[in-house]
Amino acid sequence: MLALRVQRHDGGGRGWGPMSEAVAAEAVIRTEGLTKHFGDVKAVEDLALTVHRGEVYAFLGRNGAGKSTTIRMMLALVRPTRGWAEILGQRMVPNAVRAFERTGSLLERAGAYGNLTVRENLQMQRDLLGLRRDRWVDEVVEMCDLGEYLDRAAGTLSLGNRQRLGLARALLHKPEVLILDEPTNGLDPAGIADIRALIKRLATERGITVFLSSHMLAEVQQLATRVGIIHEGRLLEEIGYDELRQRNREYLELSVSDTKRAVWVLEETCSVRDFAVREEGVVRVFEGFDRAEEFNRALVEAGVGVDSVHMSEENLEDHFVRLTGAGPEDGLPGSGEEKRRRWRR
Amino acid sequence: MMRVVRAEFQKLRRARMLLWTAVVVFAVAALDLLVLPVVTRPDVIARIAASGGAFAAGVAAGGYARDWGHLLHFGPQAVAGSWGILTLGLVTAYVFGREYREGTSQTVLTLPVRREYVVVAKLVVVAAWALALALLSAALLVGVVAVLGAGGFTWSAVLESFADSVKVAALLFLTLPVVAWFAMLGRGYLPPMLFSLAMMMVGNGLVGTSLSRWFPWNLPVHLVGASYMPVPLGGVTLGPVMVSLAVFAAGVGALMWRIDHADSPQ
Repeated sequence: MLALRVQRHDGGGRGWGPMSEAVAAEAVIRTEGLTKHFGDVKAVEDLALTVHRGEVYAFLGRNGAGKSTTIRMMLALVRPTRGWAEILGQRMVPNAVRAFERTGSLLERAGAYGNLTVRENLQMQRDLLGLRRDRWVDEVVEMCDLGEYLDRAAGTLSLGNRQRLGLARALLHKPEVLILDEPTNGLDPAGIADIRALIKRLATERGITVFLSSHMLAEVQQLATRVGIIHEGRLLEEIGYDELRQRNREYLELSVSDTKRAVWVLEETCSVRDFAVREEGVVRVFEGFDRAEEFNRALVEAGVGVDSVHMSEENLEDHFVRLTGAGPEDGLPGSGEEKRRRWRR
Repeated sequence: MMRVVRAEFQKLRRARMLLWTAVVVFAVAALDLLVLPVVTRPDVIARIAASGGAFAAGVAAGGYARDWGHLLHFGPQAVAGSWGILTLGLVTAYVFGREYREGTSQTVLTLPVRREYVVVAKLVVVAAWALALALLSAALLVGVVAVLGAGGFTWSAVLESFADSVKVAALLFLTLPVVAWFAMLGRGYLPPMLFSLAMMMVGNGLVGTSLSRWFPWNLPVHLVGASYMPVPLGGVTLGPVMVSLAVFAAGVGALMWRIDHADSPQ
């Protein structure tokens, strides 16, 4: 088992570990007005986003939505038509060496030198990065579970193991930021689960800030602390951790005439603690579903008009479909059905 | 910088392309071993010389006399000719194009290493590879000529053959950044190979014309001659060398610009 180290943010050393709240508020990735046009095709349009330290930010969108182009602009692989991207305060232009020293990336197709073994691929990169000790290689080998493939030529690896090798290379210099473009693309279910677990571990145990793109809702829901939905090159919405979790829960939605009073009644009279005001006049209650009539009665008795009470289960997919007008390519089976039981007054 | 150069050499470990390029050199030597015993026979020389044409003129001029001094010229001449242009083009296509073929180009571009260093390191590898092939070619020819039992051995002829091979490889190297640029532009092996083939054909078409020595791909031929026709030597003067250097500089500049400015969307 690898020992965790405290992450240092003064540039004085490399290591992974927990972080303070102040550090967590630091913007690690920023884009402003980021735009890319390929001829007449507007791949990305005026994208502004901020990813804070410690976040797992998922960039969700259909194929061709502009996810990969955004990531490539962030990594200075594609020149923006307008706007800019910054990582760790460094403007991302070719030869942004200081930013790359603290950033690891894995793009859609993990490349490796096929004639070299897994070990040689990693050792070569270690030498290239000026890292002297073998321990650095051993750590990523263990982390990415590559031990049994160390002496296999990279060209003979399965797609999943190539992806692991790509991830190991990305992690070799102990980056503070990890940028992953569709990291589970083309993997079998077991491979997908492994890579997801690894990403989760890196974020939670090592405090690495992760920016990943995906068109897979399940992936996003399992990994992300924040989701940005991109469609036709535009960032449509960002969803935070709490909302993301709530989107996967059943809830009782109350349409009321007086939100403030309704909240007071729910808290004080009905002792409801787990609820959220969705918008003016709409309150979602995430507990006591069998007490719907009681809530209704209490609200009415307190003079709050209740237009409707219904049970719903919305998830990210429903939201995504509504937002973009189309489902993701691998929509989650069985989801999207909104269950409704209505009590109309 | 040295780390990047070392890494580029490490990438060649067990690379089959090393073997294939060596096979080309051995194949040329094997061909020499088969053909030279025949074409250096006095009766064959006499028949060829009488047949007319450019090759006959070369043979009549004594280019195929069975002695160390003449036969060792075939080494640098072979490097200067078609196999040199194509094989070194292949080497360059491989070194620069494999990053795209193996999907490692974007990894290389996102390393904390200046992109220019990567270009320079790759050119160093190409130079070393070209030099090694030229020396191997010269060494094998020494063996072939020894097997043929040619007379008039002198160390100076052997040394001159090695030196000429190296000079030819150096002149050809000046053309290789342009080939590398095609590899980066086309993201693979085919465009640089097609370009090398085209340059070889243009070069062959120009040999014997006054323009030939100004064409950088033909300059080596004007240094060491050609085995298939008489070529006026002494064409490697300051002007044509400056043209070759300008092509080299333009090629390196184009590579540097490309690696910094080109999009890598896929």
